[in-house]
Amino acid sequence: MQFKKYSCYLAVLPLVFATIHTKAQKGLPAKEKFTATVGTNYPAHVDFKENMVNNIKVPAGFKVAVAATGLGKPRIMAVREDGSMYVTRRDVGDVLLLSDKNGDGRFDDLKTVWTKFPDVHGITIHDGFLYLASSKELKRAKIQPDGMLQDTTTLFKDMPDGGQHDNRMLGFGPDGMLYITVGSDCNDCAETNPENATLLQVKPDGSSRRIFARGLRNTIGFDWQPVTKEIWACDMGTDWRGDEIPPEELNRIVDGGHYGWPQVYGKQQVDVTREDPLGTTKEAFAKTTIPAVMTFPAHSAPIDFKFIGNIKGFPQEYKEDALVTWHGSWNRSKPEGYKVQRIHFVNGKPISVDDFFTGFLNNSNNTRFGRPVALAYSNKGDLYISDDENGVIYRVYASR
Amino acid sequence: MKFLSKIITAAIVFLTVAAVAQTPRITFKAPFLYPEGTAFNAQKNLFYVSSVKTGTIGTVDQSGNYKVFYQDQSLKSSYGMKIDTKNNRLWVCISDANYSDFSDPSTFKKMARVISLDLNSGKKVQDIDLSNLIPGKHFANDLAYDPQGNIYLTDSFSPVIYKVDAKGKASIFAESELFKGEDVGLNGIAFHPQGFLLVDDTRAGALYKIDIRDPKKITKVKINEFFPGADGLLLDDQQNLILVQNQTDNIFKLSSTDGWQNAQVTAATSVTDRFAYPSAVVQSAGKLYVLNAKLNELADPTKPKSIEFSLQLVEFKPVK
Repeated sequence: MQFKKYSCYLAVLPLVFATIHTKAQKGLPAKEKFTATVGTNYPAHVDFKENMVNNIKVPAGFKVAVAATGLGKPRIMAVREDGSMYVTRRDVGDVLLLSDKNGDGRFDDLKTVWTKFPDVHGITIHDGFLYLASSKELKRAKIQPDGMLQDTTTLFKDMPDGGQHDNRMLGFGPDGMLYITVGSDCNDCAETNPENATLLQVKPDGSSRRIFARGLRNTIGFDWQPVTKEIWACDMGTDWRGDEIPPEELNRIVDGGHYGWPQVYGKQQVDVTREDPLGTTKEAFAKTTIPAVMTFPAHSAPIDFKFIGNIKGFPQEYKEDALVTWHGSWNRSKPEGYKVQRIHFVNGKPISVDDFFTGFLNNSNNTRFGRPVALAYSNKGDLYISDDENGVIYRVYASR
Repeated sequence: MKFLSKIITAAIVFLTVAAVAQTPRITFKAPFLYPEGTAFNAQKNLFYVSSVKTGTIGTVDQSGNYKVFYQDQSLKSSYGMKIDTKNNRLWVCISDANYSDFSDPSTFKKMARVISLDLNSGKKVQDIDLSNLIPGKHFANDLAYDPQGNIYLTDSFSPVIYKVDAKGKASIFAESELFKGEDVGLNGIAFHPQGFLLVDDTRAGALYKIDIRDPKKITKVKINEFFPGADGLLLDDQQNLILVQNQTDNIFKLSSTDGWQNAQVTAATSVTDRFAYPSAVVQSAGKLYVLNAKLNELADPTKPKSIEFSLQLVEFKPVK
């Protein structure tokens, strides 16, 4: 008798169940078996000493010097017209302003311009405003003549949670729009927030936010090619597939593009460990994704990416080239990264890569005294590289 | 096979121990205390520690036993402290600046007091109000005293250093545009026997020198390095300045050959020492101990809260 009363509900249950699960539902199980030898190797930390700058190698015609020390974990930088520099510190949750008052090339004055901004990372200066992003929030403030900030505003606070990749990066394009990279919140999952693993586009006032490109696992720095005005960026590949796969990628980011993660990596290579997408196969899906234009050693961890453009004093043949910071691997048996490289572009296309700033990693005793994070340059031709291993900011400049 | 696995286990243990080796600690159990200041009483062989959560002042012996020494909820939070050995007093900075369990709108960032406790009776003998000397927000953070018994105190939220004379009268001792800014500014303070104060600035990562006879003479000490998060200070027996940097878990030894116009870092601790948000440093039987305040756990909601804290030995390594 009781069964009859409630039996009508049984028909409804499967429908409800199906609706709940469609979002996270995967396609058919992966066909192949897969095994990999995986491991971790964290080169040991070495405390910084001033004379370690002598261990850094830069190309002929360039010099490197220490610009600031004692900063803990400085991350992204933004340089003002007068050469002073903002630096975000994600772990402390603040923004510093460094100045070189006596003009000797080393910062000698520090001010804290913003405190209690947990997770603050991406930073950019635009139209008299300082824009800053944490995992979820985009804020901006008016920059006063002395560099201090006023009229701070939160433009929005609903970006996805940080999760595994909480390094939002900001950049204004030639179209006047603000672009924001938002990493995945996991290694290789099916995201439930559509804005994870994307490049977002938004108006300078924070409105009209939309997804510009997808399938970018952890793209942090990005920039516009000086001649073609296309967006280029490096992406960090999935962990735990072994030492050599997937490679790190250099991608040309187009509106509406899908770059494959988590099912596809590199040049339309299928990740055999993943289930098929709903209603199709990984192989078919891979053909709709945009392949990487150039690939690099797996797990090198690209953070920042900037075109050299017109940095004062840099050689003419570098004008179209880009610099990429490789933070350095933790899960390759032979460490990779821990350096800055120059990607040479010809007619808007990347054709080769060369070391630009090396020496942090000591392969013989498996130690590191630095991990490069971000790039920024002044209009005087100083290229700054931040290091969050020892709290140092380096200055590279062309010398005659 | 069994013997080999024992060797491998031993090797792993050995390597792990060597890898995590940090300087010795006196660990004490005081759940959620979050002590910020410390002082050492050589006579009783006891450390005193404060608390940003409860304001309670307690003692820690060399074996890590914690005992409450003075408790009063109206203190809100207690911060820097110093022992006046001559008069057997413990001076403690009292404010409601950040994390007090008993925080109240009437005292939050407003209250600034310095109290003195009798080390034998445990009773409070003085309670001096510093909040009415200059308008604005207040945070009595740390103190130092001179041979005449005058006490100098930093206000982290106002651009001033206070003075409390031997009679207990409070006044503004020094004021400067250099000390202005948002959030925590002036922090640690030390008295140099040549007649000046050395004060650090958390948000500027800088060190200032203030002439005792003419407090308008304020200069920034020229140092190559920045110290954002500069906290406790101590002048050791050779007049080297021991500077605790809380955010980066470092302790530095600075020295000067020109009366602190310029200074250099001559030694530092290592990141592998694993200090945990060190806030203050004291000398005990010729050794330096730093208090691991762990205040970063209070600033980060994802971090579990501690039931144990520690005083950790400082072992300097040369930086050249």
